Amino acid sequence: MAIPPVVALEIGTTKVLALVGEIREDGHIMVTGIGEQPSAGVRKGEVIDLENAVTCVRSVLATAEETGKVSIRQVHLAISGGHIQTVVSRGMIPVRSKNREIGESDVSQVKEVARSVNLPADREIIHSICQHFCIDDQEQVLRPEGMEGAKLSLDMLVLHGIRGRMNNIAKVVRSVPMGVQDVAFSGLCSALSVLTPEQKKSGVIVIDLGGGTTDYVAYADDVLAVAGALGIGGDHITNDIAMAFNIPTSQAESVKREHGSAMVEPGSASKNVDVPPEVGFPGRSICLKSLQMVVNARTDEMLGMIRRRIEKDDLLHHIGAGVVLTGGGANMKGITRLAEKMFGLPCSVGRPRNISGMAVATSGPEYATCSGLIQLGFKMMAEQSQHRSMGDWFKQLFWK
Amino acid sequence: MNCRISIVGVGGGGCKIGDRLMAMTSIALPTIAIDTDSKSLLESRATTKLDIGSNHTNSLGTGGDINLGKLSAEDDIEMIRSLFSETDLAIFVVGLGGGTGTGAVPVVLGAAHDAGAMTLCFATLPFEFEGERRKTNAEKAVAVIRETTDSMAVISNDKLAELVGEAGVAETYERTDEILGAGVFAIAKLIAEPEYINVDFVELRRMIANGGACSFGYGQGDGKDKAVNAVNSLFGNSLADGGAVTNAKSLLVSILGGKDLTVTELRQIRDGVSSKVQADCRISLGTVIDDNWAGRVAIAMIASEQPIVRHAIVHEQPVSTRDHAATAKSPRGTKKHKMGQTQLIFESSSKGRFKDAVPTILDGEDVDIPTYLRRGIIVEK
Repeated sequence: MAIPPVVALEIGTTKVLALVGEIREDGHIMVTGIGEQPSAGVRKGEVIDLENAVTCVRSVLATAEETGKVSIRQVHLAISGGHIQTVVSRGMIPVRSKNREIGESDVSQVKEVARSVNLPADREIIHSICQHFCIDDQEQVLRPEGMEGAKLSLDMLVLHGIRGRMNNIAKVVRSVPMGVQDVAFSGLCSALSVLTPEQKKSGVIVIDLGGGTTDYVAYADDVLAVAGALGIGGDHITNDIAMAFNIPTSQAESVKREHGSAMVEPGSASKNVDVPPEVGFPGRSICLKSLQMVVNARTDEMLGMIRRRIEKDDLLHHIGAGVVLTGGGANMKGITRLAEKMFGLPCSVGRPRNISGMAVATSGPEYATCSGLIQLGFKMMAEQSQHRSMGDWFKQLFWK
Repeated sequence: MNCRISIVGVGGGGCKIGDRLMAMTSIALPTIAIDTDSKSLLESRATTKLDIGSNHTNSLGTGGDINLGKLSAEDDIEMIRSLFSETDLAIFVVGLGGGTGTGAVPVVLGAAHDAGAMTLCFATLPFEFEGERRKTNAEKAVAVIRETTDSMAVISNDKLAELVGEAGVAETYERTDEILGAGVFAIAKLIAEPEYINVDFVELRRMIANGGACSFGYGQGDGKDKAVNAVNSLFGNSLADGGAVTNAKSLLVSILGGKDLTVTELRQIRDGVSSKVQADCRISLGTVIDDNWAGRVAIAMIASEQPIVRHAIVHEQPVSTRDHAATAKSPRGTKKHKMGQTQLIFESSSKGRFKDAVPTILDGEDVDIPTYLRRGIIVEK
């Protein structure tokens, strides 16, 4: 039986992107269709103009259908936003079997218990991810099946967000009309896409620098330890530039992309950048050093906030593989140097891995979220189709 | 509106300076002594005393072990945090190089910050003769403290001793503690209950919030020309040299004197200070009158190279500040957001495209306002 393609959709603040992915028998994922357009009706990762957003998403999906030669009925949706938070929830159960050997039923029961975390009424769980099992007093057990003990507990990292805001994003898709198969946190998708298993094992931080939000996740000892999102992004950098030099936002955006740098470079004081005239704007010239100071202040603050959040859990000592930057903001000049300075760790730009096909979709860091979402989509599909006859090879790809 | 200030001595050195300060002055400010050595705490005059880490040290001190100092503070972190729940500004005094001061101070500063207090830290570096190990420890600690405090002034004991002149060891220690005590008192009192001051409160607090690495200067004089002598003493020693004054963008000057301080003398001091700084430097000058200081005058100064953003200051709006605090509150967040603290309410016109958006409040700041504005970076337009 053929495996249906997965369509990943990201309604970002800067762009709306849809990728169509197909999986081959060796597990390799090919991007066969792509739709992309500058975003409309979204600010800070949240919908502010439903109608415009729907029109935009509709046209992006139409392009993806055309290029991928598929008809799309439902999509996997990436979400982000400053409202996304995490909580570590510990579930604990007594082991019931006579010989106190832990079986599969115990494991699934403890997962259920850990997952049932009490959230405020307006919040909903997006992901619940197993961290460590613990048998009696033995901490950090990875696979408890077959081991003995009186009680079994499990730490789960539960990611949750405000239901209304997530529904609004899903509503855009439904109004197209289009089905939403699943939602996933975009920071997690990006990490899935750019990391190697070795990096996760030695501990790594992934920062997805988006237009409206900045997502971060950290893995320590192969386990997702921290995740979150800040409602600041590239739009804030653009806005800072526009306000500092009194130039239109569109001009500020292009100045940022062409000349912006997260570090103030030596010699920049004597250089100037020309901002071309536009209707209602006479054009002007600005000092490159001043521009870089404005960008540096913002990026330094953003990375500092993430550092403080990761530091709080005393995690930095568990990060052996450094910091990986991804998302459109990773293209900013000097950003890796600034991150190296901020975290005291090696830093690199992460690009989508294990995925090929349309060249554009596999090259830049700004495509990491959707690429990861395709991989996650296939994984979810494999889990759900466990009891159906979907081809053993497919299940084996994801079930060790 | 008055600012609730506490003066906090941490470790043996810090507590001693706090004591000198209490002994010299007649007007009380709340003082807190935090140490691992219960014996020296007993002798302290501080209004609140906290013996930390007794599990680790048996209240006998750390014996110079920095790790032990850190552990001790971490052990009693809840108690420490509770000390600052009613404080707007905590002024720390610490002698670096030993175990308790060096190890515990970063933890205590963090706790004060968590409790919502703004922090200003005076840290002294050990004398040259105390040896290389204490010096290295102190220098390492400076880097750590700088990360955790709002403003920090690092003071070299050797330079303080220049003010004392040639004297015996015991006297040198005592007199340097006294000088620093007077300086800290002058600054603290000026902020707590300013008299005859030309400074806008908001700017003053903003200076501390933004100060980063500051320099501390001190001078004193007596006799007929006590004001002139004090100015000469202020610029005659090397406490605030190396361009600290000439490059300063903001100066906080506190003049400590008795009831006999005259307007002419004030003018002499003001002119003396202004003549040394650049034209764009903002000087906030005020006086503190204390009976113990009749017949003499001291000038204490904090110089910062960070300018105060003047055009962006609007006014404080207590009500909306509280609203922001509510928005910023997250289940995991511990930071309180207090009125009159580091935060200023900017007009929404300073938010550009985000002016109609629900503000994003992170770590107590409205991050929709450009960072360069909040950090007081002057951008050449």
